[in-house]
Amino acid sequence: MAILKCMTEVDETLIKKAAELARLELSADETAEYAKSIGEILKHVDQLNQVSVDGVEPMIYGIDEPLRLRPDEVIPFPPGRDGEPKILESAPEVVHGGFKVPQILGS
Amino acid sequence: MIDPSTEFETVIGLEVHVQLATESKIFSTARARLEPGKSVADEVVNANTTPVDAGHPGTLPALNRKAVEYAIKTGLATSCRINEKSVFSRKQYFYPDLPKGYQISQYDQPLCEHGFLDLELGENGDRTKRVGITRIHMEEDAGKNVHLAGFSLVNLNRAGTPLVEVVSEPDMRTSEEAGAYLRKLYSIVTYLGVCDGNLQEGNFRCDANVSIRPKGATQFGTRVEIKNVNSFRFVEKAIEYEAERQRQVLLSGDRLVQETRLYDSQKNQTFSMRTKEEADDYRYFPDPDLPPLMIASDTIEKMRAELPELPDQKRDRFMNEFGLNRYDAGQITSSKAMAVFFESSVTAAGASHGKVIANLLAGETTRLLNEAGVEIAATAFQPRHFADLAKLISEKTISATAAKQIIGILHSAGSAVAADVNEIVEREGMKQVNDLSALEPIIDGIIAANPKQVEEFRAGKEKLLGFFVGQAMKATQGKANPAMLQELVSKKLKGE
Amino acid sequence: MKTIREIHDAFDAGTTSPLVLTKKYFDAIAQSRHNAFITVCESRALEQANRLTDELKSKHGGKVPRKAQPLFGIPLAIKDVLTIDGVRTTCASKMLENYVPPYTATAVKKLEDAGAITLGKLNMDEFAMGSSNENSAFGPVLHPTHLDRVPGGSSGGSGTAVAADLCVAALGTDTGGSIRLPASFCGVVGMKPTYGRISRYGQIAFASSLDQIGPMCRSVEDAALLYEVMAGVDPFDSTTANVPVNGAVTAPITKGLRVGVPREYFIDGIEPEVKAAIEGMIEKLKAEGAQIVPVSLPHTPYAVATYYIVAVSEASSNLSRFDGVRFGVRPKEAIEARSLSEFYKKVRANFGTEVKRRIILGTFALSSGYYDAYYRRAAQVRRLMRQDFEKAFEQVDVIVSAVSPSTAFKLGEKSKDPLRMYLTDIFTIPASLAGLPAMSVPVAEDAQGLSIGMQVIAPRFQENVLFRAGAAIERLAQVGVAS
Repeated sequence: MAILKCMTEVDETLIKKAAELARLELSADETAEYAKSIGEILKHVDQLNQVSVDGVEPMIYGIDEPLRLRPDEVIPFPPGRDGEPKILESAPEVVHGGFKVPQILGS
Repeated sequence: MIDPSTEFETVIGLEVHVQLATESKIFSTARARLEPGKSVADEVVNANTTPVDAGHPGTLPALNRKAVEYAIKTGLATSCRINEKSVFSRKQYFYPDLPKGYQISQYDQPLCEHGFLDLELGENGDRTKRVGITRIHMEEDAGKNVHLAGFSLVNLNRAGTPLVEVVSEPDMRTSEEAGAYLRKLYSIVTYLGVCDGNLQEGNFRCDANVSIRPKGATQFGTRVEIKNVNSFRFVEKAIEYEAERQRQVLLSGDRLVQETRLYDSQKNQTFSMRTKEEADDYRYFPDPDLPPLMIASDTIEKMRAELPELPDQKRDRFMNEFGLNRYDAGQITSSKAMAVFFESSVTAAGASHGKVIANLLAGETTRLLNEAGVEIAATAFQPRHFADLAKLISEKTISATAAKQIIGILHSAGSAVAADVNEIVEREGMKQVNDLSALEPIIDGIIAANPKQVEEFRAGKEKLLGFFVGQAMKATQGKANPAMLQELVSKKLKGE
Repeated sequence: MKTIREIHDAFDAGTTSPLVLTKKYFDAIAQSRHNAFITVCESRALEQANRLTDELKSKHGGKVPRKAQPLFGIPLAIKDVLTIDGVRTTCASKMLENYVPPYTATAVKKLEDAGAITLGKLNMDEFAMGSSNENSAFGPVLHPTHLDRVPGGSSGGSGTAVAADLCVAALGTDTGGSIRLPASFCGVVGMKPTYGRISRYGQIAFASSLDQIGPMCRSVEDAALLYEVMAGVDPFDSTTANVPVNGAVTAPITKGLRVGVPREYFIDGIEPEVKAAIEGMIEKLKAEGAQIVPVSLPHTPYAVATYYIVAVSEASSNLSRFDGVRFGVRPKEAIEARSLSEFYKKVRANFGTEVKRRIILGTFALSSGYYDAYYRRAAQVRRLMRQDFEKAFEQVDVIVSAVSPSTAFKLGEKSKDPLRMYLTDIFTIPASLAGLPAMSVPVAEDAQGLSIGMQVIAPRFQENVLFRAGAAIERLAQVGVAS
């Protein structure tokens, strides 16, 4: 797709879209600043288009080995203080043992 | 405007999420399966959750070997090609039951591809249809949200349970085909032992993609996804409703919306889910925490050789061994639990009773199970109940009708594990009257009391036999041996 | 300032003890103005120190069990990106200001099992994103000796703590140079192992295929010791390599050592004193019998571009779990949110500016329509960079260069210009992308007394070559340089 090889126009729309996908709320100033700085970074990144990559396998992983498998063994996570599930100790709001969040329906 | 006489065809694709029956979760060492005898409701909320399951910072996934084995077996049993290399990818979106903000799944390089299921359809199962399976891939299950007034609660006990997602080609055209596909897939995974098959606990979950198009068209129509229908019967009904709804929409000149809907079994309707945010871009990319999964070809062949007897093979064997008809044999092999139940009953009663037991299981028992939406393991039925019933029937002590009633009594008695069939027969006075000398006078009496009908019968109105048999049966409070009664009445009417 | 061996000698001689040493460090930390620590684990460390001091007497007859517990009684500090069960871990972010992990990082556990004492958690750039330690929600870390300058990042707290004698050694993490750069700026040894040598379980992830934990120490020997204790396959980390960890050898080697000098690392823009120091050390190596071989790593100019797509893409995904549901700070605005979307946004407002910038960039690079042009292409160039090294290593045993074009710069000097800041990593990024072991060894100081580090890079899994070459450089550097 030839279009993708050209410099990407980094305007505020692009920034807002990415911010929305990442659930980040930006002020008008931030949006403008990011459009500028990210624009400069992407301009630098566009150099990558000069490199011939035909037939080159992308390097995704840090090791060359295939995935190791683990035996099907149950090792439960031990309860925390006063016998409650330890995973709740770091939770911001717990109700009836569950992690509380605002109403999902209607979101 | 669409021509109101347009004939539409329904196009159905099914996505089934099968929970794998491993001991530990797919990427963590927490318990995956319920302890025997327990249900999900028994678990302490969030007790079965490790830092890996809760997506705590710094945690990493480690893949369960058994989950891979079970996924491969599922692929082999559905005639898929097993890819020697497959890749785990992150599917990214924000939702409270998704701890890492992404689900580890497989995207462009799944474990299994290009399989199929052959379905037997129609009354006698004599119409066959092959439905393609596009792919089977591995992924992790999400947690559960509980909605209360003004807020929701997240329970991560289920998060990380191993799943395979089985995606069919959009080859199905009727709700019957969809139901048959589901039942077949269900029986295969329960047979393999890769899935516990408990529908109430969410072991086997189906999403249906339904669209319609004018017959003969090649383009697909707008697709609607119906999510989380929890029984095969309801999937069939939901599809039927949805296809008709779509037809009405198009005929009225409106356009269909590509959306996700839910099924209300009380009203037998599908309804739109409250508009979620615009479908997120999932931004799939290979998970750098999990190198590619490589399966050696001789490992695949070894597993293929070790596959257990699959439902179709067992069905054919039962037909031969016990002289069953295809329908009964199909019903009792529809799940491993049912097949095992049958085999245990036959062991208790003796092989000669196989046919009768099969008939009882395939008929009344299956009817009750379907109605209640439960599997046989969730009931109080015991193999010895059916062994007893078969013996009593063969001794002519009870009629087939009485046997049906007894099954109903066992079922509604709740935990009737300890119930004894013979006791029930006594209690309900179900012993058949087989005594000719007791029946003869009754029949004589009815013949004498209905001279007009006797004449009409002798003049050629053969179906009046039913009237006489019915009267005689009534007179014996339903206890007469029906076959014997019929023969006797017939003889006497004909003057023999 | 003593090395681990010297400290163990002192324990054996009875001139100090784990407890005395630990208390001394807590005093130094309390008096320091560097802001190197975010959390100080006084009671926990004193409990460890007490126990070890007792054991030294009662179990070991006054002699440190150096084989069984190579880090016996040694007070260390840990970059606040690694989890410790029950100890606050913040990643220098407001987001995790109150986070107490329920489990301990494998690498930290190994150190403590080997007898180490954890003094506290070290300041860093937020979520390891930065090159100057100016991106911390807990304030910047100051350079150990020049308090108006940066210590380098993201392991700035680690570099300063070791250099300013606030601990014996520290753990840092390195994704694109975050150990090597502060090591160079602060004048200590900093080593990043081959990717896959040390478990990342418990290392709060920045870029999954690049992150590695590594030691920051006073000597190459100390670094080798810590490396050996931590390295090895971990069943909890599927990306640890199944390659045997040979005991780390640190006998210096120069004679016959083939030293590669990559022309792409000797470009304009390197400060003259840095250039002179590196070239000077190369001459010394040559004089000691090393064979100096010019090599080329042609894709080097693309390093920053490649890294700032690959690393930020992975990071944007790794940071999605910070949603205020199961851990982390849930601000009042989030509690009062009327929708899920608003909830997430209010929680994630606690990310700092640089973190948000990288999340946006990474989200964009992975998004539909851009994935092939950005993420996939960058991953392809990454492989080409790795191949550059593999070709070069056919001719040489190690490759050397400067760690950074400059010495420690002033606070605020580069912080307004993200791209300019990214370019400080230009020499360290390639070894990260290729997954190679690399180390920074201090070799000289500039006229202002600011340290200059030399980078040594070895082939994958050849840490012994790395340590031996590093030890040689270290020995040569001490000749004529006041350390």
